[in-house]
Amino acid sequence: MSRSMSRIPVDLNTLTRDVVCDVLETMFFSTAVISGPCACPHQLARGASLEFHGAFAGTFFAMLTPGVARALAGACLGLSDEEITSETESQLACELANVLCGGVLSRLDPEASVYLSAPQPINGCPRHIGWCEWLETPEGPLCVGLSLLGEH
Amino acid sequence: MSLSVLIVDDSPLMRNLIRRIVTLAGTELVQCHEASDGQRALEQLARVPVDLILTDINMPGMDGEQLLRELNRRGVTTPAIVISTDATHSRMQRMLAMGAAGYVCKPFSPEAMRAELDRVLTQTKTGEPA
Repeated sequence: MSRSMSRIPVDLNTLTRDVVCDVLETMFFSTAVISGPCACPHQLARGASLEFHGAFAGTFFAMLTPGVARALAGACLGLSDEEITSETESQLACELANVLCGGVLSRLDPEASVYLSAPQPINGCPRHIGWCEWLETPEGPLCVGLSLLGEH
Repeated sequence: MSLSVLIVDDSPLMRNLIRRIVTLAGTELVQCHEASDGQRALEQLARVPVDLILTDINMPGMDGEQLLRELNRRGVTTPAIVISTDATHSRMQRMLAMGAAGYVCKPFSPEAMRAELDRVLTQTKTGEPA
């Protein structure tokens, strides 16, 4: 049976910030700080969302600017700016959403079995999202959010 | 010494990243083959034998768990390292019990990936159990 967000006894903001920092530092040689609730500005043009089910069920998303996507893709793949295409930016958004979602859910409950769907590119912050957070990286802004089934 | 590796992941970016880590960090001459899911991995393996398989778990079509099961069924003894966002102890134990020689959790550093790769290859050479 899936659990709802209100039954999760953790500070989701802190947990998410820790996961984002861990992922950015380990795989992308960057970092992030939380700057507040997501205002869903239009400049966050690269994004991906995925669904998960199992002990937790819901949706997770990550949105970022093309500049952040390019910087992170360049850092992990060792590519110059000229070598990075919009497709690479989109692939970066999908993989980032995948790794962040896995990290957040693993830390919510290290023993919970959760299955993730394949990330899909999105063009804007999803509406009716249960929770989201705005973070600043040295390369620009990043927004992550999640909804757990039964929260609305 | 040369090394032939099959990278199985539905994300082109992850395949590129893993290929980069595998080819840049080692001293061996590495030949990388790629597949976007388990079924394509089996087709690749039927054509080209490899020394090591690096596979994601969550993939559309045949996933990494089904791939390991099928490799076991076919008697393929090539060591496989599972790479996944799933850091739960139960999933790791299940994959290792199914015959995975190693497990790398995302996010991983290039050093961590390379260390697991070296560990598994050394283990394979010396004939130690996984």
